[in-house]
Amino acid sequence: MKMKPFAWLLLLCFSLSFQSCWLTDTEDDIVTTTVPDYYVPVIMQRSVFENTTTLQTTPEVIVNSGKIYVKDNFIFINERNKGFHIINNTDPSNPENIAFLNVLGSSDLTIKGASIYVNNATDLLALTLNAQEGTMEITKRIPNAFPQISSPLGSNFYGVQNNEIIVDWTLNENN
Amino acid sequence: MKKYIFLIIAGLVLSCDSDSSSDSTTMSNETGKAGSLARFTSYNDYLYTVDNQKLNVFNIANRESPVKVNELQIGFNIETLFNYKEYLYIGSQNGMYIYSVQNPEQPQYLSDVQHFTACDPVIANATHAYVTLHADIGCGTTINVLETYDVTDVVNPILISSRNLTKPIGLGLYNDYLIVCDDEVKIFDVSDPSNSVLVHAINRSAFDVIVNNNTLILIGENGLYQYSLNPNSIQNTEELSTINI
Repeated sequence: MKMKPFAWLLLLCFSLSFQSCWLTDTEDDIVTTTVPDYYVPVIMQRSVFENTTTLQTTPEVIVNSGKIYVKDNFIFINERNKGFHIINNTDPSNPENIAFLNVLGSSDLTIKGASIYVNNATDLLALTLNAQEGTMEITKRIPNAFPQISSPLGSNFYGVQNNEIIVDWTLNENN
Repeated sequence: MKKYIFLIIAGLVLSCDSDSSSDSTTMSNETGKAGSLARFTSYNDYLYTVDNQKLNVFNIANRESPVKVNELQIGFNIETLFNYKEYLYIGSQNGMYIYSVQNPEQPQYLSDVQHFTACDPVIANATHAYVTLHADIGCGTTINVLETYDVTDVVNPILISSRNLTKPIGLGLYNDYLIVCDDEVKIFDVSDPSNSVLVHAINRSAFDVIVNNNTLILIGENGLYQYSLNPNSIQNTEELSTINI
Protein backbone atom coordinates (compact mmCIF):
# COMPACT_ATOMS: atom_id res chain seq x y z
CA MET A 1 0.00 0.00 0.00
CA LYS A 2 1.47 3.33 -1.05
CA MET A 3 0.94 6.35 1.11
CA LYS A 4 1.62 9.95 0.35
CA PRO A 5 4.00 11.83 2.65
CA PHE A 6 1.10 13.86 3.97
CA ALA A 7 -0.74 10.71 4.93
CA TRP A 8 2.34 9.49 6.74
CA LEU A 9 2.58 12.78 8.59
CA LEU A 10 -1.05 12.45 9.57
CA LEU A 11 -0.44 8.92 10.75
CA LEU A 12 2.54 10.05 12.79
CA CYS A 13 0.43 12.79 14.35
CA PHE A 14 -2.19 10.24 15.24
CA SER A 15 0.32 7.90 16.80
CA LEU A 16 1.87 10.69 18.81
CA SER A 17 -1.49 11.82 20.06
CA PHE A 18 -2.11 8.30 21.33
CA GLN A 19 1.08 8.30 23.23
CA SER A 20 0.62 11.68 24.75
CA CYS A 21 -2.67 11.15 26.39
CA TRP A 22 -3.37 7.52 27.01
CA LEU A 23 -2.56 7.03 30.66
CA THR A 24 0.78 8.78 30.45
CA ASP A 25 1.32 11.39 33.03
CA THR A 26 4.49 12.70 34.53
CA GLU A 27 6.61 11.22 31.77
CA ASP A 28 5.19 13.49 29.07
CA ASP A 29 8.09 15.92 28.97
CA ILE A 30 10.63 13.18 28.70
CA VAL A 31 8.80 11.41 25.91
CA THR A 32 8.50 14.45 23.72
CA THR A 33 12.16 15.30 23.90
CA THR A 34 13.36 11.90 22.73
CA VAL A 35 13.06 10.27 19.33
CA PRO A 36 9.86 8.22 19.04
CA ASP A 37 10.37 4.72 20.35
CA TYR A 38 9.36 1.73 18.32
CA TYR A 39 7.52 -1.21 19.76
CA VAL A 40 7.43 -4.81 18.62
CA PRO A 41 4.58 -7.20 19.40
CA VAL A 42 5.05 -10.12 21.78
CA ILE A 43 3.30 -12.99 20.03
CA MET A 44 2.12 -16.23 21.62
CA GLN A 45 0.51 -19.39 20.26
CA ARG A 46 -3.12 -19.70 21.37
CA SER A 47 -2.51 -23.17 22.87
CA VAL A 48 0.11 -21.67 25.20
CA PHE A 49 -1.74 -18.40 25.73
CA GLU A 50 -4.90 -20.09 27.02
CA ASN A 51 -2.97 -21.56 29.94
CA THR A 52 -1.39 -18.34 31.14
CA THR A 53 -4.21 -16.98 33.33
CA THR A 54 -3.39 -17.86 36.93
CA LEU A 55 -3.87 -16.46 40.41
CA GLN A 56 -0.80 -16.14 42.58
CA THR A 57 -1.08 -15.39 46.29
CA THR A 58 2.28 -13.71 46.39
CA PRO A 59 1.95 -10.02 45.51
CA GLU A 60 3.88 -8.50 42.63
CA VAL A 61 5.59 -5.12 42.71
CA ILE A 62 3.49 -2.55 40.85
CA VAL A 63 5.47 -1.22 37.90
CA ASN A 64 3.19 0.14 35.15
CA SER A 65 0.01 1.08 36.95
CA GLY A 66 -3.10 1.06 34.77
CA LYS A 67 -6.78 1.38 35.47
CA ILE A 68 -8.36 0.67 38.83
CA TYR A 69 -11.57 -1.02 39.92
CA VAL A 70 -13.11 -1.16 43.39
CA LYS A 71 -15.46 -3.82 44.71
CA ASP A 72 -16.32 -4.22 48.38
CA ASN A 73 -13.03 -4.39 50.28
CA PHE A 74 -10.83 -4.94 47.26
CA ILE A 75 -9.06 -2.66 44.80
CA PHE A 76 -7.85 -4.10 41.51
CA ILE A 77 -4.94 -2.27 39.86
CA ASN A 78 -4.12 -3.21 36.30
CA GLU A 79 -0.48 -3.92 35.51
CA ARG A 80 -0.62 -3.00 31.84
CA ASN A 81 -0.89 -6.05 29.63
CA LYS A 82 0.19 -8.28 32.52
CA GLY A 83 -2.70 -8.65 34.95
CA PHE A 84 -4.21 -7.23 38.11
CA HIS A 85 -2.80 -6.51 41.54
CA ILE A 86 -5.37 -7.35 44.18
CA ILE A 87 -5.34 -4.99 47.14
CA ASN A 88 -7.14 -5.82 50.36
CA ASN A 89 -8.61 -2.44 51.26
CA THR A 90 -10.64 -3.46 54.31
CA ASP A 91 -8.78 -0.69 56.12
CA PRO A 92 -8.18 2.16 53.61
CA SER A 93 -5.53 3.49 56.00
CA ASN A 94 -3.60 0.29 55.56
CA PRO A 95 -4.23 -1.29 52.15
CA GLU A 96 -2.42 -4.55 51.55
CA ASN A 97 -1.21 -5.87 48.22
CA ILE A 98 -2.10 -9.54 48.63
CA ALA A 99 -2.28 -11.28 45.27
CA PHE A 100 -1.76 -11.02 41.54
CA LEU A 101 -4.06 -12.24 38.80
CA ASN A 102 -1.99 -13.00 35.71
CA VAL A 103 -3.97 -11.96 32.63
CA LEU A 104 -1.87 -11.31 29.55
CA GLY A 105 -2.92 -8.41 27.33
CA SER A 106 -5.30 -7.03 29.95
CA SER A 107 -6.39 -3.48 30.64
CA ASP A 108 -9.93 -3.65 31.97
CA LEU A 109 -11.92 -5.48 34.61
CA THR A 110 -15.47 -5.32 35.80
CA ILE A 111 -17.42 -7.36 38.31
CA LYS A 112 -21.02 -8.52 38.50
CA GLY A 113 -21.92 -10.58 41.52
CA ALA A 114 -19.19 -13.16 41.98
CA SER A 115 -18.07 -13.03 38.36
CA ILE A 116 -15.09 -11.04 37.15
CA TYR A 117 -14.85 -10.07 33.49
CA VAL A 118 -11.49 -9.17 32.00
CA ASN A 119 -9.98 -8.72 28.58
CA ASN A 120 -7.28 -11.33 27.98
CA ALA A 121 -5.77 -9.82 24.81
CA THR A 122 -8.31 -10.83 22.12
CA ASP A 123 -10.47 -12.88 24.47
CA LEU A 124 -13.10 -12.08 27.05
CA LEU A 125 -12.74 -14.11 30.23
CA ALA A 126 -15.34 -14.68 32.92
CA LEU A 127 -13.81 -15.98 36.12
CA THR A 128 -14.41 -16.37 39.83
CA LEU A 129 -11.73 -16.17 42.47
CA ASN A 130 -10.97 -16.12 46.15
CA ALA A 131 -7.85 -14.02 46.62
CA GLN A 132 -7.31 -15.07 50.22
CA GLU A 133 -7.55 -18.78 49.51
CA GLY A 134 -5.77 -18.47 46.21
CA THR A 135 -8.43 -20.24 44.18
CA MET A 136 -9.48 -19.14 40.70
CA GLU A 137 -11.68 -20.68 38.06
CA ILE A 138 -12.19 -19.55 34.48
CA THR A 139 -15.88 -20.15 33.86
CA LYS A 140 -15.96 -18.98 30.26
CA ARG A 141 -13.58 -17.84 27.54
CA ILE A 142 -14.91 -16.09 24.45
CA PRO A 143 -12.05 -16.22 21.93
CA ASN A 144 -11.53 -13.30 19.55
CA ALA A 145 -14.14 -11.08 21.17
CA PHE A 146 -11.75 -8.16 20.69
CA PRO A 147 -9.18 -7.07 18.11
CA GLN A 148 -5.47 -7.77 18.64
CA ILE A 149 -4.03 -5.24 21.10
CA SER A 150 -2.35 -2.13 19.68
CA SER A 151 1.06 -0.81 20.63
CA PRO A 152 1.38 1.95 23.23
CA LEU A 153 1.76 4.30 20.26
CA GLY A 154 -1.53 3.07 18.85
CA SER A 155 -0.18 1.15 15.90
CA ASN A 156 -1.38 -2.28 14.87
CA PHE A 157 0.46 -5.38 13.71
CA TYR A 158 -1.25 -7.39 11.01
CA GLY A 159 1.31 -10.14 10.55
CA VAL A 160 -0.18 -12.57 13.06
CA GLN A 161 -1.50 -15.97 12.04
CA ASN A 162 -4.89 -17.36 13.05
CA ASN A 163 -3.65 -19.05 16.18
CA GLU A 164 -1.32 -16.31 17.29
CA ILE A 165 -2.13 -13.73 19.92
CA ILE A 166 -0.37 -10.44 20.60
CA VAL A 167 -0.06 -10.37 24.40
CA ASP A 168 2.15 -7.31 24.85
CA TRP A 169 4.42 -4.83 23.10
CA THR A 170 8.04 -4.23 24.00
CA LEU A 171 10.55 -1.64 22.93
CA ASN A 172 12.57 -2.75 19.94
CA GLU A 173 16.16 -2.66 21.15
CA ASN A 174 17.41 -2.18 17.60
CA ASN A 175 15.86 1.24 17.24
CA MET B 1 -38.49 11.09 10.59
CA LYS B 2 -35.46 9.79 12.48
CA LYS B 3 -35.52 12.87 14.67
CA TYR B 4 -39.08 12.14 15.74
CA ILE B 5 -38.21 8.59 16.62
CA PHE B 6 -35.37 9.87 18.78
CA LEU B 7 -37.67 12.36 20.45
CA ILE B 8 -40.19 9.64 21.21
CA ILE B 9 -37.47 7.43 22.61
CA ALA B 10 -36.12 10.32 24.63
CA GLY B 11 -39.61 10.97 25.93
CA LEU B 12 -39.98 7.37 27.00
CA VAL B 13 -36.55 7.35 28.53
CA LEU B 14 -37.07 10.55 30.47
CA SER B 15 -40.48 9.52 31.67
CA CYS B 16 -39.08 6.51 33.49
CA ASP B 17 -35.98 8.28 34.75
CA SER B 18 -37.16 8.67 38.31
CA ASP B 19 -38.41 5.15 38.92
CA SER B 20 -35.43 3.45 37.32
CA SER B 21 -33.08 5.20 39.72
CA SER B 22 -34.15 2.89 42.52
CA ASP B 23 -32.86 -0.28 40.90
CA SER B 24 -29.48 1.18 40.15
CA THR B 25 -29.00 1.65 43.87
CA THR B 26 -30.29 -1.77 44.83
CA MET B 27 -27.96 -3.29 42.26
CA SER B 28 -25.01 -1.29 43.46
CA ASN B 29 -23.57 -3.92 45.76
CA GLU B 30 -23.56 -6.47 42.98
CA THR B 31 -21.18 -4.38 40.92
CA GLY B 32 -18.14 -2.39 41.90
CA LYS B 33 -16.86 0.91 40.59
CA ALA B 34 -14.52 1.65 37.74
CA GLY B 35 -12.51 4.76 37.05
CA SER B 36 -13.42 7.10 34.20
CA LEU B 37 -10.91 5.53 31.81
CA ALA B 38 -12.76 2.19 31.82
CA ARG B 39 -13.74 0.39 28.64
CA PHE B 40 -15.97 -2.14 30.41
CA THR B 41 -19.26 -1.53 32.13
CA SER B 42 -22.32 -3.55 33.01
CA TYR B 43 -25.98 -2.68 33.13
CA ASN B 44 -28.50 -5.17 34.49
CA ASP B 45 -27.85 -8.48 32.70
CA TYR B 46 -25.48 -7.06 30.11
CA LEU B 47 -21.80 -6.38 29.86
CA TYR B 48 -20.77 -3.61 27.47
CA THR B 49 -17.22 -3.12 26.26
CA VAL B 50 -15.62 -0.80 23.75
CA ASP B 51 -12.60 -1.45 21.63
CA ASN B 52 -10.98 0.88 19.14
CA GLN B 53 -14.04 1.11 16.88
CA LYS B 54 -16.82 -1.01 18.30
CA LEU B 55 -19.28 -1.37 21.14
CA ASN B 56 -19.61 -5.05 22.12
CA VAL B 57 -22.64 -6.41 23.94
CA PHE B 58 -22.54 -9.54 26.09
CA ASN B 59 -25.50 -11.16 27.79
CA ILE B 60 -24.49 -12.08 31.36
CA ALA B 61 -27.86 -13.30 32.64
CA ASN B 62 -25.85 -16.38 33.50
CA ARG B 63 -23.04 -14.53 35.27
CA GLU B 64 -20.51 -17.27 34.77
CA SER B 65 -21.17 -17.74 31.10
CA PRO B 66 -21.31 -14.53 29.06
CA VAL B 67 -22.60 -14.72 25.50
CA LYS B 68 -21.68 -12.14 22.89
CA VAL B 69 -24.94 -10.95 21.40
CA ASN B 70 -24.07 -7.87 19.37
CA GLU B 71 -21.36 -5.54 18.17
CA LEU B 72 -21.88 -2.07 16.78
CA GLN B 73 -19.56 0.13 14.81
CA ILE B 74 -19.32 3.42 16.73
CA GLY B 75 -16.46 5.44 15.32
CA PHE B 76 -12.69 5.58 15.52
CA ASN B 77 -10.23 5.75 18.38
CA ILE B 78 -12.76 4.96 21.04
CA GLU B 79 -11.28 5.18 24.50
CA THR B 80 -13.78 5.11 27.32
CA LEU B 81 -17.23 3.83 28.25
CA PHE B 82 -19.38 5.20 31.05
CA ASN B 83 -22.83 4.04 32.08
CA TYR B 84 -25.46 6.19 33.73
CA LYS B 85 -28.79 4.45 34.12
CA GLU B 86 -29.93 3.34 30.65
CA TYR B 87 -27.38 5.51 28.87
CA LEU B 88 -23.92 4.71 27.63
CA TYR B 89 -21.50 7.59 27.24
CA ILE B 90 -18.69 6.71 24.87
CA GLY B 91 -15.56 8.83 24.72
CA SER B 92 -13.48 8.79 21.56
CA GLN B 93 -10.61 10.93 20.42
CA ASN B 94 -13.00 12.80 18.19
CA GLY B 95 -16.03 13.22 20.34
CA MET B 96 -18.61 11.89 22.74
CA TYR B 97 -21.39 9.51 21.76
CA ILE B 98 -24.56 8.82 23.73
CA TYR B 99 -26.41 5.52 23.29
CA SER B 100 -29.52 4.21 24.97
CA VAL B 101 -29.62 0.61 26.20
CA GLN B 102 -33.33 0.55 26.93
CA ASN B 103 -33.31 -2.29 24.46
CA PRO B 104 -30.21 -3.84 26.00
CA GLU B 105 -29.14 -6.03 23.09
CA GLN B 106 -29.69 -3.28 20.52
CA PRO B 107 -28.07 -0.10 21.82
CA GLN B 108 -29.65 2.88 20.13
CA TYR B 109 -27.65 5.88 18.96
CA LEU B 110 -29.03 9.05 20.50
CA SER B 111 -26.50 11.78 19.80
CA ASP B 112 -22.89 12.76 19.57
CA VAL B 113 -20.74 15.83 19.86
CA GLN B 114 -17.56 16.16 17.86
CA HIS B 115 -14.47 18.07 18.87
CA PHE B 116 -10.83 18.41 18.00
CA THR B 117 -8.71 15.29 18.32
CA ALA B 118 -7.87 14.81 21.95
CA CYS B 119 -8.31 12.22 24.62
CA ASP B 120 -11.53 12.41 26.48
CA PRO B 121 -12.94 10.35 29.26
CA VAL B 122 -16.55 11.25 29.90
CA ILE B 123 -18.74 10.88 32.97
CA ALA B 124 -22.33 11.93 33.50
CA ASN B 125 -25.22 12.26 35.89
CA ALA B 126 -28.93 12.82 35.23
CA THR B 127 -28.46 16.28 33.78
CA HIS B 128 -24.85 16.85 32.80
CA ALA B 129 -21.91 15.17 31.12
CA TYR B 130 -18.35 16.16 31.91
CA VAL B 131 -15.58 15.58 29.39
CA THR B 132 -11.90 16.27 29.73
CA LEU B 133 -9.88 16.91 26.61
CA HIS B 134 -6.19 16.38 26.84
CA ALA B 135 -4.07 17.01 23.78
CA ASP B 136 -0.37 17.30 23.43
CA ILE B 137 2.16 18.94 21.17
CA GLY B 138 2.22 15.81 18.96
CA CYS B 139 -0.58 17.16 16.81
CA GLY B 140 0.15 20.83 17.17
CA THR B 141 -2.95 21.29 19.26
CA THR B 142 -2.74 22.29 22.87
CA ILE B 143 -6.33 21.80 23.92
CA ASN B 144 -6.58 21.01 27.59
CA VAL B 145 -10.08 21.72 28.71
CA LEU B 146 -12.93 20.55 30.87
CA GLU B 147 -16.18 20.62 28.90
CA THR B 148 -19.61 20.52 30.47
CA TYR B 149 -22.65 19.46 28.46
CA ASP B 150 -26.27 19.80 29.42
CA VAL B 151 -27.68 16.35 28.62
CA THR B 152 -31.16 16.89 30.02
CA ASP B 153 -32.21 16.25 26.45
CA VAL B 154 -29.93 13.33 25.60
CA VAL B 155 -30.61 13.59 21.88
CA ASN B 156 -29.35 17.15 21.93
CA PRO B 157 -26.39 17.68 24.27
CA ILE B 158 -25.53 21.33 24.66
CA LEU B 159 -22.07 22.61 25.52
CA ILE B 160 -22.59 25.01 28.42
CA SER B 161 -19.07 25.47 29.70
CA SER B 162 -15.51 25.02 28.52
CA ARG B 163 -12.76 25.63 31.00
CA ASN B 164 -9.00 25.60 30.37
CA LEU B 165 -6.97 23.31 32.54
CA THR B 166 -3.36 22.09 32.44
CA LYS B 167 -3.67 18.47 31.29
CA PRO B 168 -6.90 16.97 32.59
CA ILE B 169 -7.44 13.22 32.35
CA GLY B 170 -9.57 11.09 34.71
CA LEU B 171 -12.54 12.56 36.51
CA GLY B 172 -15.23 11.62 39.00
CA LEU B 173 -18.35 13.05 40.66
CA TYR B 174 -18.90 13.38 44.38
CA ASN B 175 -22.27 14.95 45.19
CA ASP B 176 -22.08 18.49 43.79
CA TYR B 177 -18.34 18.24 43.32
CA LEU B 178 -16.36 17.25 40.27
CA ILE B 179 -12.92 15.80 40.90
CA VAL B 180 -10.47 16.12 38.01
CA CYS B 181 -6.97 14.66 37.65
CA ASP B 182 -5.06 17.63 36.29
CA ASP B 183 -1.49 18.76 37.06
CA GLU B 184 -2.79 18.18 40.56
CA VAL B 185 -6.12 16.74 41.64
CA LYS B 186 -8.66 19.55 41.48
CA ILE B 187 -12.07 19.65 43.09
CA PHE B 188 -14.70 21.89 41.52
CA ASP B 189 -18.04 22.88 42.95
CA VAL B 190 -20.44 22.17 40.09
CA SER B 191 -23.70 22.95 41.87
CA ASP B 192 -24.01 25.44 39.01
CA PRO B 193 -22.62 23.26 36.21
CA SER B 194 -22.26 26.17 33.80
CA ASN B 195 -19.96 27.87 36.25
CA SER B 196 -17.58 25.41 37.93
CA VAL B 197 -15.69 26.86 40.87
CA LEU B 198 -12.37 25.49 42.05
CA VAL B 199 -12.76 24.84 45.76
CA HIS B 200 -9.89 22.55 46.66
CA ALA B 201 -6.82 20.82 45.25
CA ILE B 202 -4.78 17.83 46.33
CA ASN B 203 -1.14 17.94 45.38
CA ARG B 204 -0.93 14.53 43.74
CA SER B 205 -0.15 13.40 40.24
CA ALA B 206 -2.88 10.97 39.17
CA PHE B 207 -4.49 9.88 35.93
CA ASP B 208 -7.71 8.38 37.24
CA VAL B 209 -10.04 8.55 40.18
CA ILE B 210 -12.75 6.50 41.86
CA VAL B 211 -15.06 8.01 44.43
CA ASN B 212 -16.13 5.16 46.69
CA ASN B 213 -18.66 6.52 49.20
CA ASN B 214 -16.59 9.02 51.17
CA THR B 215 -13.24 7.66 50.08
CA LEU B 216 -11.32 9.15 47.19
CA ILE B 217 -9.04 6.68 45.42
CA LEU B 218 -6.41 8.08 43.06
CA ILE B 219 -4.14 6.15 40.75
CA GLY B 220 -1.00 7.67 39.26
CA GLU B 221 2.25 6.50 37.73
CA ASN B 222 3.87 6.75 41.14
CA GLY B 223 1.24 5.64 43.56
CA LEU B 224 -2.22 4.63 44.72
CA TYR B 225 -3.48 7.32 47.06
CA GLN B 226 -6.56 7.31 49.28
CA TYR B 227 -8.21 10.28 50.94
CA SER B 228 -11.28 10.64 53.09
CA LEU B 229 -13.88 13.08 51.81
CA ASN B 230 -16.10 15.12 54.06
CA PRO B 231 -19.37 16.07 52.32
CA ASN B 232 -19.85 19.02 54.67
CA SER B 233 -16.35 20.37 54.29
CA ILE B 234 -14.79 19.59 50.93
CA GLN B 235 -11.52 21.35 51.77
CA ASN B 236 -11.09 18.90 54.59
CA THR B 237 -9.57 15.96 52.70
CA GLU B 238 -7.47 13.72 54.85
CA GLU B 239 -4.85 11.41 53.43
CA LEU B 240 -5.48 7.83 54.49
CA SER B 241 -2.74 5.90 52.75
CA THR B 242 -0.26 5.67 49.90
CA ILE B 243 1.05 2.65 48.07
CA ASN B 244 4.17 3.77 46.26
CA ILE B 245 4.65 2.54 42.72
